Amino acid sequence: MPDSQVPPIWGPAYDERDLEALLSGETGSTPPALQPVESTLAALRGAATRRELSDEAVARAAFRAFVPVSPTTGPLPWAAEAEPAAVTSHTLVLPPADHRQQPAARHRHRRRSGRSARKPSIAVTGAAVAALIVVATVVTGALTGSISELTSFGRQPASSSASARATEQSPGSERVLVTGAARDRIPSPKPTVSSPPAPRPTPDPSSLCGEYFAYFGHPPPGGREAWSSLGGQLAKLAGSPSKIGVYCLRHPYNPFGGKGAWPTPGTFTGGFGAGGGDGPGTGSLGAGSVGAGSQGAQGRVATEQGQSGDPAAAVGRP
Amino acid sequence: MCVDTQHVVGDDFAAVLAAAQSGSEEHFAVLWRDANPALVRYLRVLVPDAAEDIAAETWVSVVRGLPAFIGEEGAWRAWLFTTARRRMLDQARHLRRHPAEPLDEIGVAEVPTAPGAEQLALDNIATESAIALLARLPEQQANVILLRVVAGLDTEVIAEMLGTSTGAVRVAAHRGLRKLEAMLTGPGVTSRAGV
Repeated sequence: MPDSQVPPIWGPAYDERDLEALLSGETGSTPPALQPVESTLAALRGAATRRELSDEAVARAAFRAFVPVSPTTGPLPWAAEAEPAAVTSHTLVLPPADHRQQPAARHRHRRRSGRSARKPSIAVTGAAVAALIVVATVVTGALTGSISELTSFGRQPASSSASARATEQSPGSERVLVTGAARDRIPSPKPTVSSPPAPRPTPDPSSLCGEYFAYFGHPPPGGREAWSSLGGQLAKLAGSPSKIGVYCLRHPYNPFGGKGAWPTPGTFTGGFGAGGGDGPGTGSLGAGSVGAGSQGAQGRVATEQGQSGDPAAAVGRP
Repeated sequence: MCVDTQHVVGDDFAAVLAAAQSGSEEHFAVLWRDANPALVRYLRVLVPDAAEDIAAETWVSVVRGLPAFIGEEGAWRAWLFTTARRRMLDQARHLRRHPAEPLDEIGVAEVPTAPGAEQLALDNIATESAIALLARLPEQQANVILLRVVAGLDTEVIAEMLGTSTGAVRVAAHRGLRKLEAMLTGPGVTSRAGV
């Protein structure tokens, strides 16, 4: 059969590839049936009309409103050869926005981990400091005096009621526990007036030491002068004031002994004779009086010792 | 006005975009002149009554996101037309909620005229006819053809924009072209080939 007698092929004169070529803008092999479509699509790709470019001013205004205008704008890329610099600047501008957040996140993470790791160390340090304070307090006995003083207020412990024992031992006393400031308020009997002066026994060195060192724990009001005179006695016994400690170590004080350890106004009878003060005077233990130059309280002590009602009379009296 | 709608910027796109992102208004104008005609044509087919308004809103959105944009020219066009499509959907949603009554029609004597308007109309008659033809197609087919032809996007990008498969995009485009061919070669229409 010759080719001229072949029946014509019915159906579309194009296929999918022709349609894809039209959509892609490929020209040259368009089937005749699609040439009107090709013309239409070419018109859609045609040059811009004046109407389509009439709103450029509006777009520029929006650009100026939302994008910060750079003071120096480079030339258009096809007018100058500055593309690489512009691309580089664009590429370098964007990453800092990402890097700006990373340190913050790392900082937060570091802060959290630091807190969690520091909590146990802080607790351990605090506990160690508290234990150290407790141990130091127990070792140095800083709380012993105050605790014993508190506990001795309502009862009569043997160690802290030396003044009470002394009060009990004195004749005619009211047998009342006298402690602290109440010692001044409660009147003690005046043996110098009502009874003849009794000969005082020679003080025991150990009790003297006890009374001397008890002053540091229980300093009575106005008892500094008595403590000074007691120190004078001990210095006389020891040989010098600097040897009082050694002397008392050789005569340890027994708080449970029969002698009172805390001096009462009546028990301090010794003095240093004329010249007073701490200097060695002419008076002997139990017979002297506080010398001149002392204050009124010292005169009161001399009065209580029954020597004389006149403080001036006691001055220099052996 | 000899600016083509296709790839005016071309290889210099990265530099122009960078300059525009840095604040150069002139470089932004280059981008605008390159893309706005295609954008307006796309919108005139789909929303003939509000094409210019939606185009302006699209550019406002694009300008606001311009400093953060990263990509080449294809991504730029995809972003532009995706934004236009979203603004178009917003417009349609707004018209459904707030229907507007048309104003009185303006008389012929009051229509503003410009010098050379007749010549301009003659020059653009082919484009206007093409837009009118595409507006007669189903929306999905016209949308796909416009995105392929006017916006110059690939099938994959269009499928991602429309939320469908590449096969569906290709089928819709081919059906639209066949329907367009049928309209052009139908009764009363004389094609250039004379078929």
